[in-house]
Amino acid sequence: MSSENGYMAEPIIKIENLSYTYPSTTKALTDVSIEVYPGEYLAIVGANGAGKTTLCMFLNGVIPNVVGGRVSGTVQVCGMDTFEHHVYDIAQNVGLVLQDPESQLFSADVRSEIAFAAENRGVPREEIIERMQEVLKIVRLDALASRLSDELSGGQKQRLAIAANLIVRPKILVADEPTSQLDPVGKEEVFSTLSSLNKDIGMTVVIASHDVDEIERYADRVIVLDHGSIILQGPPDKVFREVDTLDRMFVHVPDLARLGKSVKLDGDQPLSLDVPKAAAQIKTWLGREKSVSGKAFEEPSASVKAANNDASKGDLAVEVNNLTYAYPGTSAPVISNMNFSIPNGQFVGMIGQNGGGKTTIMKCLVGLLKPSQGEICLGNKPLSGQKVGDIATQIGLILQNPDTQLFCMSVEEEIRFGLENLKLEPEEIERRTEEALKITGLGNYRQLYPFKLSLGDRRKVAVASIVAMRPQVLIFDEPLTGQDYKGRYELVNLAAELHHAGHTVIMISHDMELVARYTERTLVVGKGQLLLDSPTRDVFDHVSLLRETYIEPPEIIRLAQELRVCGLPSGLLSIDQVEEGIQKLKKPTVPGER
Amino acid sequence: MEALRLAQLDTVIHRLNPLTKLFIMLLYWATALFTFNIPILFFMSALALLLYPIAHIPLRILRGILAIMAPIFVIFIVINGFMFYGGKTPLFYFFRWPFTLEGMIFGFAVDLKILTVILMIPLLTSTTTLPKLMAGLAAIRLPYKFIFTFGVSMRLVPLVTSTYLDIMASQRLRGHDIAEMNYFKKLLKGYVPLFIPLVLTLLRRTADMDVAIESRGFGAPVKRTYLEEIRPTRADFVALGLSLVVFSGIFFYLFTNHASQMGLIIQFQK
Repeated sequence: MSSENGYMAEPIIKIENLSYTYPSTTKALTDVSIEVYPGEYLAIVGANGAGKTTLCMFLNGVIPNVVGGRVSGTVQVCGMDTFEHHVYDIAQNVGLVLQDPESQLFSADVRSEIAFAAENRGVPREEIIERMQEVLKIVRLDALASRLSDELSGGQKQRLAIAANLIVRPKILVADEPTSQLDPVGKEEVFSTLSSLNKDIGMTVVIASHDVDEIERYADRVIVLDHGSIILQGPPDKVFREVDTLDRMFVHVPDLARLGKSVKLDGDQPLSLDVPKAAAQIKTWLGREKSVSGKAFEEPSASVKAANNDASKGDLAVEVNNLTYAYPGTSAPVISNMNFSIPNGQFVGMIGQNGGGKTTIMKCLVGLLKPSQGEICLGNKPLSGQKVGDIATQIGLILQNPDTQLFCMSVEEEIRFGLENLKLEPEEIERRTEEALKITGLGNYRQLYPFKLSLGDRRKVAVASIVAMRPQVLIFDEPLTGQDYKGRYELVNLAAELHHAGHTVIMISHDMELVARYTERTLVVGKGQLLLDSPTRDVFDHVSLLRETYIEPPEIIRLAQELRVCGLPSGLLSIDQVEEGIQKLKKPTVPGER
Repeated sequence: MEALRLAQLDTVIHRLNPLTKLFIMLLYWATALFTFNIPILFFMSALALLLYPIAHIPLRILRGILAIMAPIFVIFIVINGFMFYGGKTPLFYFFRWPFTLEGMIFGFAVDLKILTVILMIPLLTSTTTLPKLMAGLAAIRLPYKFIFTFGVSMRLVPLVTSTYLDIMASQRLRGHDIAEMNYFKKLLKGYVPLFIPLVLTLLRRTADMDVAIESRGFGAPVKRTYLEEIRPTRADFVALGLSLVVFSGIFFYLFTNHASQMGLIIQFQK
């Protein structure tokens, strides 16, 4: 049998007319039919709530065997009807990697975590040891085999979860948003591991993810889900060109696909989704294949000092002098001798690899950690000696996970909580609560139980409860973790609105596209040092330095760098700017004009 | 977390079979619970503490437990000082109630008994990895579901702790600082904003964990195998032999010297 993708075999996964409603009466899937062929790499994309996780859970029988609900249709995996078999039988053929690296590891150390599934299947001890060596090599954890699970980074934990599934030699690996909580290094580690499983071993891989750039690079086929139904499917190069449809579904579109919609190349040829190929196509289209009208992209030398001088011009919101912090019981500082200042009203991005010191800096800024050395001033007032609650009225930190703070029965009670702790007058509390509800657009949800809201809206509740305390400076710590395309823009737009309203905003993020689009200045932190402090328009030119912290500039910026040789100006950060620059280059030149 | 890390070390005590360590610990506990003899309890505590450097266990590991137990130890001494049935020698009076020397010493003996029991725990938990302990428990035919529940509970301890600390930090950022509250305020207002997010977060995480456990074939109707091998070695026989000699000696001493009494009180009564 042959599929439209050219796979010549019986499908290894066959889903026919699958519809499903959760016990809570939420309808999750409607009439879904999919065939996946052995050795295929299938990606599922869609907004949060589109049905991606539900579909993944069907593939190893967790639904309907563990989680009940109303089901119709059929799911056949490796010839087994998943409705008729126990999960432990299906697990022999299907491995499942979940989103949260913490909650899917339940053994103390790496070896016992990997052995667990094989022990459950009664695999003899000697064979478990043999297989373990094999899978440790595949996931590149062989050097860390004697570690405790808690000592691993996020990416390593996800690779451990993959290894823990591989030990029973499944034919299919299903991964449900395995990179949504990882930094760029972890993300790359997981995607390259899944790719080598697919290419080298021929394992069938099914992945649900929001990371379209990686999907475009690795997947054979993409399925777009919306409200539980399949809207689009096909090769990434074809699906990601359906920009309008994907926008309607709130699915992230790769930068080059979006650019390709407005830059019409000769002969209607599509713009490649690969940066060097797209650059070559545009150069040809511009007729400047060998042009030297512009200055070829050159990497500038890193300078921390220049941006600091800029910063010192205005009133300072934050001033950090010689900041050093070492965790109790450790001798090596996590951050050492760090200096920077942020003027009032700036929107600053802070980027860098996990473990580089970003979170420690933020915790020092809000008083959760006391610096081992150095001084922090907020609005020219030293932080030392102030209580965390008092500091919170000057600088607010919105943490990654809103669920660590929500406990009240309604949104407005949640907002009032911080204000009551400040012991404000009831009228003032009421006034500020109304104001925070208005700013965050949560007015219609004021009486709702916060846990009934989506993750994006719960994040807004967290923002509202901090904004109500009226701090001048707001820090957003990884506001995009676990968010879909729609959610991430909503929250960062809210940050931008607060910036326009006069707040100083610091955004810690791994999403370079949003850092490029929204921030005016970027601090690059790595190995406990401030590696670079530069206007955002220049920061992505420091390619080697960024690579040291495992950061890759967004596709559109890499394309712009390649096109500088044709005369495209430097400092272009958005798709619109690049498109405008290209169109200007394309305009016929007036005789006599250069 | 520190106990888990220490358990990864390799010393002569780490290499002992978990069942050997479990047996010696139970023998030690039984002896400590059996006697109120202060010199013997001191001897047993000293014996346990002598093994700490051999097992590379830092004494600071006891700091937290002792900080929690210290008020309880004081309460035992105070209560027994006033209420011990065999109290004969008043040291002072609180209104009409005498605080006796015998009661005080009995309270001290109870404290020492508890301390002796506590001192032995790290010698098992900080020298035995969880998988080895679980395999040991399986070797004595305890039901696997019980062993697995125990193992997962141990794994959850660092997870619960880190989640709790995150929650505490996020509430401090809204001016809710439990460390600055008095005892009654803590009870009335302090814990609710910490425990509700903790319970809800853990419920979600344990639901995910349940899916992960099921997905790895837990409960398959086959005879389970174990990666960890539990076989006695010569060191186990030596350790068991030495323990039998020591504890036989202790019991011989106790039975020939008023086993259940406090060594020091006997001298007072003479």
